Amino acid sequence: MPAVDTATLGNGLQIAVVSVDGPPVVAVQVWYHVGSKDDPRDRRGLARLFEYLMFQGSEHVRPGGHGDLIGALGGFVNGHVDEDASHFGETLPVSDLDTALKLEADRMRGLVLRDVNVQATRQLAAEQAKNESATPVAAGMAHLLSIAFPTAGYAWNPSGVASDIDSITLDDVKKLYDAYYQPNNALLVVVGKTTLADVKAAADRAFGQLPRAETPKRAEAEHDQSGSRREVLEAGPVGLALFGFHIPPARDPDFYPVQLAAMMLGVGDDARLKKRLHTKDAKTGELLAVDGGIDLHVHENPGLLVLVGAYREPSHGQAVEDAMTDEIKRLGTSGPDEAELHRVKRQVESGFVFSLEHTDGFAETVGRAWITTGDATSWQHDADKFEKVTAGDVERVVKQYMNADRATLVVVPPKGP
Amino acid sequence: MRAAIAVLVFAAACGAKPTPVVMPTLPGDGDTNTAKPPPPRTKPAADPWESKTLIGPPEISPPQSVDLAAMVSFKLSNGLEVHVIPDQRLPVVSMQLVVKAGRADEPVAYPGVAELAADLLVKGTRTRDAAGIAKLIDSVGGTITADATFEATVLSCSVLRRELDTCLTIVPEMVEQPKFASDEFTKMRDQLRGSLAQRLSDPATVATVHAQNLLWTNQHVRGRVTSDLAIAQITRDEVIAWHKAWFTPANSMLVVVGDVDAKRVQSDIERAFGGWAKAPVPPHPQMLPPGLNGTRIRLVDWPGLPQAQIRVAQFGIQHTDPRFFDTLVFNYILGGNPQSRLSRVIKTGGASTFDRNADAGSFVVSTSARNTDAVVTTEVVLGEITKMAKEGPTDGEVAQAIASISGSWGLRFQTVADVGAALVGAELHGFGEEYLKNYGIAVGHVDPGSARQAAQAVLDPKNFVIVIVGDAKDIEPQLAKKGWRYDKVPFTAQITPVVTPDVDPKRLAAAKKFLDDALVAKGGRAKLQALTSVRLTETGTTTAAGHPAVAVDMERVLVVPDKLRIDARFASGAGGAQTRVVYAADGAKGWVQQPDPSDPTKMVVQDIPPPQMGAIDFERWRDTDTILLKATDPAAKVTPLADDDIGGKPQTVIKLASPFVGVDVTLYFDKATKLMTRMTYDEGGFTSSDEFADYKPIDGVQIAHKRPTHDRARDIELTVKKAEVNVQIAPSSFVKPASATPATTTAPANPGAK
Repeated sequence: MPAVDTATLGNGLQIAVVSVDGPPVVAVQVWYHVGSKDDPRDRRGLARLFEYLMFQGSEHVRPGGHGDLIGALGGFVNGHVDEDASHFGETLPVSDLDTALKLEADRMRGLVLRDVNVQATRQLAAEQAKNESATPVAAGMAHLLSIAFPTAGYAWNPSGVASDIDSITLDDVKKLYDAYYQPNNALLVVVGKTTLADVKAAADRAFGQLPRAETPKRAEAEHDQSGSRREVLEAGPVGLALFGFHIPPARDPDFYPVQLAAMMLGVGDDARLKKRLHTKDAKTGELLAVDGGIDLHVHENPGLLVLVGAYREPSHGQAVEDAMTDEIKRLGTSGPDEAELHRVKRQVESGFVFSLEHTDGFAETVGRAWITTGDATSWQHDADKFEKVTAGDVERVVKQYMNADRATLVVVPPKGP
Repeated sequence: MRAAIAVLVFAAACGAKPTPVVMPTLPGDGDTNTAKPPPPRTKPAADPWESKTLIGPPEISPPQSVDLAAMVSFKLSNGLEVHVIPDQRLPVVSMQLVVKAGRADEPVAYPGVAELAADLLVKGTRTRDAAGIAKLIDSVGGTITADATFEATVLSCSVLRRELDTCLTIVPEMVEQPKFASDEFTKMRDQLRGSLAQRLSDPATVATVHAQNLLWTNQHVRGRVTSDLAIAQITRDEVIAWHKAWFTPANSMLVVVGDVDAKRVQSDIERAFGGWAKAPVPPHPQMLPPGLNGTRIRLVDWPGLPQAQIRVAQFGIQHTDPRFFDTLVFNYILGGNPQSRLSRVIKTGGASTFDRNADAGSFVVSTSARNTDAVVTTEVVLGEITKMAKEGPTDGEVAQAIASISGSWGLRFQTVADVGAALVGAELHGFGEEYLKNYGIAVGHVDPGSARQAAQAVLDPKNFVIVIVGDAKDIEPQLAKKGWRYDKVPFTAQITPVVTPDVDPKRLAAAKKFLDDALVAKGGRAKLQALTSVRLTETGTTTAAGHPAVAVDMERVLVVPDKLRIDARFASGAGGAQTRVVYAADGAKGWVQQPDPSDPTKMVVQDIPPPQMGAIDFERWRDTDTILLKATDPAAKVTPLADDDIGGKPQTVIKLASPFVGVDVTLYFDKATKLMTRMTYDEGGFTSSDEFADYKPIDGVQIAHKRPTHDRARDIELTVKKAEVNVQIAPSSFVKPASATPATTTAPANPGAK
C-alpha cells in the first residue's frame, strides 16, 4: 500500500502527498475545514451555495476558465461540499501540477465575489435544495435529522433549505470565505506520480505568499441523548419507519465495529433487516415490508445511524417497528456469526481498496481522514482496525449505541390502497 | 403597423433631426408634460479581468509514455491466448475473459443474441444459480460483469488479490458451462426488450441508429437495427447455439492485470482454464461497406418533438489505418472536445466521433436544434466538415489537441480494470502493450501537415448521410426550400425488417410428431373435435404486485367455438363480503359487469370496447383445452425450441404462431406424459405464463386441476374444484344483463378453504 508523506507551509497550509508509481497523472485537491454544519442557523445551505461560486472566477481566472484550462490539458475538475468539509480539485497530467496549484491558490484568496453571481447562484441552489427533499424518503429523513440534532449543524442536509438560501447575501458569502477559505484551515492533497519534495516546492511558489488568518471557530457537537424521541408525520404514499441512533465520531475506536454492525443490518440482500422485512406472513402470504436498509452518517462529531423500513399496508406499522427493534436486539444479544463478520469485513476492505484505485478517490480518502480525525495519515490504519473487530465488539457497540434510550424514531404512515 | 414603422424610419433617415418639443407644465398634470432629462447612461459592468494577467496554459511539454510493467503472454494447449500485466500499486486484480464474437457476428435473424447471451452468463452455471453467483462474489467484496460489444463479449471479474481464486473458479464456470436456465432466459429477454424500448424512446438514440442504418443499409451488420420483434424471436436455442459456436478457447483471450506474480499466476490459469475443451473456430462473417455516392437524407417524423436531433455520417477508418492518430487530432478539433469548432458555432453544441474498430466503422457528427432551425444547423455542420476537409486544422489547434489528447491518455489507466480494458482493445486489433505505453508519444508525432492531409483524405466534402429526427411539419418546408430530396419515415417505424429464421426440417417433423402424440395424450382428436363446452369451477388467490393476496372464486365457461364467460368473486373486505366481476363474449361482442366505481354497492354493465375485444379473441384462440387442435392443423406454423426442464422433469418446448401480431405462444410438454405443463406468451414486452398440473380425465379429456398463472399485473393461484365437459350451458349466460344486480354477497370467499 502506498504511504503518505506530510508537510506544513509557514502560513499553516498542510500538505499530504501519496506517491503512486503509475501513469503520469496526479489528483490535486484542496480540503477546507468547513461544511454545512457550520452554516448559520438562518442560512442553511450557505456552504453548499459557495461550491458554485468557486467556479465563477478569481483574480487571474475568468468565470469558467478554471475548468476550461484543465480540460485543455486533458484533465477534469471536481468540487464537493458536505456536512464537514468542502473540497475542490483537479486530476491532470503531472507535468501540469504547477498550473493546478496556481489556479487553486488564486481561488483560495482571490475569488471574485459579486452580487450578480450570488443572486444567480441562489436560484440554482434553492432549486437543488427543493429537488433533494422532494421524495417521501428524503422528506422523512430531513425531519429525522432535525429532531435528532437539536444542537449540532447536522440537523439539515448540506443542500440546505430553500427559504434560507433565498435570503443569503453577498455579505454572508464574504464572511464565510474570509473565515474558512484560508491556508491555515486547509489541506492540500496530491496523489500520483510525484513526490513530497516536488509538491512542497510547487505549493510554496503558489500558496507561500498567502498570509495566515485567525483560526476559525468550530461548530458545536451534539450532546448525548437520553430518552427516546418519536414523531409521527402525515401519511405518505409509502409507509416509513426511520430509526436514528447517535453514533461515535469517525475518530472513535468504536466507529469500526459500528460500521460493521450497520452493514450486517442493512447492506446487501443477505443483510438481517432486509431479510426480516422481506418475510411473508405464513397465513396471508403478505410481505411484511417492501424494503429495508441503512443510512450511515459518519462525521467529524457524533453522527447518526439510520435504519429504514418501507411498507405499504397501514396495519403493518407496529409489526415493522417491532421487527426492526428485534433485529437490533438480536445482534446486540447474540452478536454476528463468523461467516457474517467475514463477509462484511471483506466488503469494507474491498470497498476501501478499490476506492484508492482512482487517484482522486485516493485523495478523497486522505482529505476525509484529515477532516474527521485531524490526521491526514490516519486512513492507513483503517483496514487493520476493521480486521481486528471481533464478534464481541459488534455485540457490545450495538448494545451501547443502539438502545431504546438513544433512539429517535420518525414514522410516516402509508396512505394505504 | 409594419408600414407605419417603415414611414417613421424613412423620415428619420431623410430629414433633419427633430428638436425635442418642450411642453409647458399645465396645472394639475404634475410633471407629465415636462421634458425629462435623459436616463443616466448605465455604465456597463466593469470587467474585473480586463487589465489582469490571466493564468494561461503552461508551455506545452512533450507527451510522456505510460509506465506499465512488462506484459507476459502465453498460450494454453487448448488455444486460449493469455496476457498478464503485473501491477503492484494496490492489492487488487482484474481478470477479463474476451470471446471474440459480438454484435458483428450475430445471425441476421437474431440481432441481440450476443447481448442476451452476455447478460445470461452471470445468471447461472451448471452448479450455481444466479443468487449463488451473486452471493459468492458479494461475500468477497468483488464484482463480476458481462457485456457484448460490436466485436467481442467480455466477462470481467475484479477482486482483492487474496480472493483471486474466486475469479479463477467462477469465470471458467461461466464461460464453459453456462446454464442458460429458461426462467432466467425469459427474465433477461424481457429486460433486454424493456431496455431497447427505453433506448428507442430517446430521440438521440433514434437519430443515431437511423444514421447507421442509412449509411450502411440493412445488408450490412452495422446498418441493421435490432427491434422488439427481432428480440422476441430469439429463443433459448439460439443463445445456446451462439455460445456453442463462439465460446471456444481458441476464439478467446484472457487478460489479467493487478497484484500478481506473472509466473505463479500462469500455473493458476492453466489449472483454471486448461480443461476448456478445444473446438474449431467458425469464420467471422465478412461484409463489404456499401459505398456512398451522393448525399442521402432521411427525415424521421416525430410529431411534437420540441428539439430536432441531427446526425451527419460518413464512413470512418480502421483502427490499423496509418492515419489513425492524424484523424484523432483533426476530429478532436472538429468536434471531439467541449471547445471544438462545432461546439463554438452551434449554440446547443456538437460532437463528432470515429469508431475505433477493426473495420472502418463510421464517422458521425451529432447535434440538435429547434425544429425551425434544423436545416440551417445541418448546413452549419456540413460547412464545418467541408472546411476541415479543404483547409484542415491550424498549427495552433493541432498543438493544443496533441496536449489534451496525450495528457488525458494517462488518466485512462487509473484502475487495473482500466488497464485490462485498454489492453483488450489493443490486443483485439493486434497492437500489444507497447501501443498503450506509447500512445501519447504517437499522438505527439502528428504534425499540422499530416493532420491536414488526413482531413483531406478521410473526410468527403460531397457525400453525406443526413438524418433529422423532429417534427416534420416544421422541417419539411425548410427541406423543400433548399430543394433537398429526402425520405420520410415515422419515428415508430421498424427500421430493419425482421428476418424469419430457417428451421431444420428434421427437427420440425419431430416437433409435429410430438404435437400429434400430445393430442392423443390429451384425449385424441375425435374427443377434442366433439367437445362442445368446458366449465371449470375454481378457487384460489390473486396477488397484485406489492399487495396482499385476495381470495377468489371463479367459474370459467367456454362454449365452442366462440362463447366465453368468466365469473369471478373476490373477497373484498371485512365479514367475508365479495365483489363480483363478470366478463362474457359471444362472437364479435362482449360485455363486462362490475361494481360501479362511484357507488360500489351497485353493478354496472358495459360493452367491451372493440379494441379490447382483441384480447378476448386471443384468450379464446389460446384456450388450453382446444389449442392442440390448432397446433396439429397442417397449416399451423410451429417452431421447435430447446428442451428444458420444469421442477426436474424434462420438457419438450414448441412455439406456435398465433394469428395475432407479435403474440405467439410457447407450449411446454412433459416428455413422459406428453401433457401440456406451461403456456407462455408475450404481453407488450413482458412474458406471461400459465402453468398446468394435476391432470384428471373428465369424460375422456385430460383436464389440468392446478392452474397458477403469472402476468405483468398479478399472480393467480387456482385449483379446479369441479371440471365438466360437454355440459349444456344456457345461452342466456352470454346475454348482456339488462338490469343491475347487487355487487356484493355475504357468501364467504373460498368456503371450506383453509
